[in-house]
Amino acid sequence: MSSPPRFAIWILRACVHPADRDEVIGDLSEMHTCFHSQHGPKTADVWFWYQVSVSAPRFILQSFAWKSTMLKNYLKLTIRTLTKQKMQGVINIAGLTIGIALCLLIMLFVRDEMTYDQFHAGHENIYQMQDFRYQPDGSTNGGNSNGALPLGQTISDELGAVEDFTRIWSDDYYVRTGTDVFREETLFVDPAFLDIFSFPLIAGDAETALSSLSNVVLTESAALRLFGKSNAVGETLEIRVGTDYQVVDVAAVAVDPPGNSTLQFAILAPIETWIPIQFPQAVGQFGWSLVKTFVQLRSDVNMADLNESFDALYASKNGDYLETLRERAEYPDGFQPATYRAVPLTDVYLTRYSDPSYSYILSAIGLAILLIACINFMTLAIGRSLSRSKEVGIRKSVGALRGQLIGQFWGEALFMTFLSTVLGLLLAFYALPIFNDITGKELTLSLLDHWSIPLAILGIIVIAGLISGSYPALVLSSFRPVDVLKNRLRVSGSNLFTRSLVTLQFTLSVCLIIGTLVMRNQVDFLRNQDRGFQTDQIVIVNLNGLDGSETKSRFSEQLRQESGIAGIALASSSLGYRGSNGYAVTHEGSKVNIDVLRIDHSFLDVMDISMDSGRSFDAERPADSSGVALVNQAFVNRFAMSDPIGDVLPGLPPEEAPTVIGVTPDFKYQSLYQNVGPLMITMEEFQDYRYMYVRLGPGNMEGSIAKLDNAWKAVTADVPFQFEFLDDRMARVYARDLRWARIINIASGFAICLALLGLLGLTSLSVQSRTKEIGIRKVLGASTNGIIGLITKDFALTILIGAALAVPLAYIFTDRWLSGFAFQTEVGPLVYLLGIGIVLASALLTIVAQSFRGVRADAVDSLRSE
Amino acid sequence: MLSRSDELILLAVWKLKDDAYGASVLDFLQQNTNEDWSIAGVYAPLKRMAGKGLLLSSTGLPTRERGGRRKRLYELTAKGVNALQTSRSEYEAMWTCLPNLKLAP
Repeated sequence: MSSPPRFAIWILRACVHPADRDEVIGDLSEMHTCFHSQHGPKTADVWFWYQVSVSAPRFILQSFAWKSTMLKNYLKLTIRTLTKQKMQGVINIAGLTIGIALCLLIMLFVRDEMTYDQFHAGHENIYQMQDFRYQPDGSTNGGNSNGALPLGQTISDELGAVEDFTRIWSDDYYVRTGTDVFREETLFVDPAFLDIFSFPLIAGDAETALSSLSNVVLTESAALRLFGKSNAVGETLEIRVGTDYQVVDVAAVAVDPPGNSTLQFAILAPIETWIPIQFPQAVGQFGWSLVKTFVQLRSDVNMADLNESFDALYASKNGDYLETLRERAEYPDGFQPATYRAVPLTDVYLTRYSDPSYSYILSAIGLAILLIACINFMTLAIGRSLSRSKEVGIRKSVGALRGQLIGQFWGEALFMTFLSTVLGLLLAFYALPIFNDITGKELTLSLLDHWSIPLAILGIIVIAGLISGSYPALVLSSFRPVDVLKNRLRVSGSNLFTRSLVTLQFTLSVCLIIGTLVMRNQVDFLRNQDRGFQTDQIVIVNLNGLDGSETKSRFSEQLRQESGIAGIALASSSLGYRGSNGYAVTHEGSKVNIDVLRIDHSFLDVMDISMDSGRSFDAERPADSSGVALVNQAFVNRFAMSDPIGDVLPGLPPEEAPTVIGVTPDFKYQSLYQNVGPLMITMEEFQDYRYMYVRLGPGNMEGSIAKLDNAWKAVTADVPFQFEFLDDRMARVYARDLRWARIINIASGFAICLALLGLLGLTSLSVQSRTKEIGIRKVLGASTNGIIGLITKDFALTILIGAALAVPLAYIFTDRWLSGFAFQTEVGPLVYLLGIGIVLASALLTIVAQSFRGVRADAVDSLRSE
Repeated sequence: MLSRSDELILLAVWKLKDDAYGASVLDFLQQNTNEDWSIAGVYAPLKRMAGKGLLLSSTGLPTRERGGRRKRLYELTAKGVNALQTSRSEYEAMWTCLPNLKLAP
């Protein structure tokens, strides 16, 4: 007997349906033998190859046709099961839809976070220069991105790896066109800015846009705001740098920076116009930390070499500072405690402006919800498995292979997830504005934006489908037909596997509910925190560089006749805000930061801060304006001053140190993330007055604001009246926490709803499968309540275990979150009990309501059925 | 209505009687027609017509030349014979009403 070419047989094997395989290969082999004996081996092989190559495509088509017949059958069955068990179908699809929609939205969020600043061409070569302080063990608290004015030019001159640089100073500035005044986010930059970063221009020339000192670049939206048209090239406007307006020309208009750009601006202006006005003393000085410096490095740069050059450069330019650092602490020989480092642009956002852990938390929540939805699918499939097992038995006995059954069940699950994904996409599309509102982002859902989106959606379908279909696919398909058809198999809806899945669902939902409660408690706690000073009825006015004392006196003059104004004061900073200015002294070998607040003599009165001891500043004593200071109680404690009044402030040279004349209580001058630290309050000109505090009397608030506005206009025409209520301003610090509290709140709402939906389905299944039992119990005299109790007991324990497991989990997460605050709410057991209670009550309600119907049914009917 | 290739395959099965299976049908067709037949071109119609009830298939014995693989034997059903006869009478009816076929001058 001859043997046909092996490879040709292998090809046939691959493309002929298994049922026909033997026949086809057999026939061809037979003919091959025949040819072999008549015409010799070569002709036989050629003929065989010819047959295979001609037939293979047709065989492949045929096997598809065969598969599609089965597919039609499966699809029909899926739809039949869906319509037969409407409630379960709705639960499955609704659950998966919500889970997938949420996952999609979260994916958009995470993608946005992770792709920050990646739209710049060559973003991998753009770095931000930062100052790092290192400890001998290599640890650091992160870099300081504000650097010296000459840094950019110096490194670009001295280090070959630096191709280009731009310095950036950003702040809000007033801009005037005619008589209209706008407040615009302005970046003062070097001309290379437009080369390094990709902000395309829609009008004007990038080469010359920033080359002249009198040129500026507007964004499209700023051009529309200022001039009512997007091509504003050639228009002139005035920009207020320092205290005077300067006339500049619009040389170009750029596309608005995208939402995922760290650099946000409305106006770009040459930095050389800004330096001589605002910081002439910093020119050429390395001691000042002012501007951000971005560099473009060569793509073949060796970071290790570059870091060495940075170390040397730092040592040569900041020698004095390194000396002071070395004097303050013991460092090993040759250790340099501070240096420059280049931080990749794409890392800047996540390390300085956001926190990647938010992305992780959100992803975890999204996955948890999707998991809950998948578990619903699984538990319901398990509950249904008794009726499905008959189908499996019959299919198997008429010849279905296990692989086909696995394919069928997984295909069914994939079909459901596909359906849910389509619905989920729709839902996500309509929910996107709400999601944007909550997260404070500007996300868009466009499917073809990037190849990763369709891929991710496909990934969701496949993963969710595989998880949800895993039980029927792997377990149901393994049943032996004899067992199933002889009813020897016992599958119940309350087996250990189902129980643990339900437990997991409720662990997740209780965890999220407790998280919500704790966050809400903390946010409320922060809001109602007694700051130790007046927070209501205080309007805080930004002086924008105007002279504080003069403005206040002219402003008060304007308001002299008006009622409704209870007091006016000046201060150097805004109370209740994160961070503060100060200086550090060495006390008993360790460094102590002292915060400095400059006020005027009426401030403490206006803000209702009374003295603990000593006296406050007195308008009648001109000598108070220098050489004396107030301190807070924390200061007294920190420096262990036994009799502070009359002492000089510790840590300063004696001839400069002011004398303490009074001690204030520890009012919370910073945000509540920080503890109250040592504070020195002075009237000396350490800092400028930057804010005017106006306390309104009781009565018509809007009227009072209008009066303030009028008075302000009489004082200055340069700067518009920009005010804010102090309590609003302080609340803004916690906006992010509030936002996260809301996100967790909504997520836990979804989680609990989905878990309850699943429970609803399970209960109805349980009642259905126990119809006979319930009927017999009723005939024997069981009460409705008794039977409901019986069904409830089944689930209650499962849920209770889930809730109990959630407690330690929730504790770990909330505790970590709370540790970020210096002032924390008390989280008692009540919060946990409340969380468990809410979930348990709604779960029981679901079970009772669902089982009630089944139990109320007439026992005669249920016993007569079948 | 039968297609021409269906008809030829049915005829081959009829002719081969007890020994009609993929290879023999293919061989027979190669011998008696001027067309090129592929094995898949024989299987698909065989299976389709078996599905329609024109043919009946049964599993035959494995032989040595086939590498020990079984063959699937086909035989005509009554319905298959009817279909062939209908087809033949249609052909004859069509041909008789035509004048003698001549080559164009």
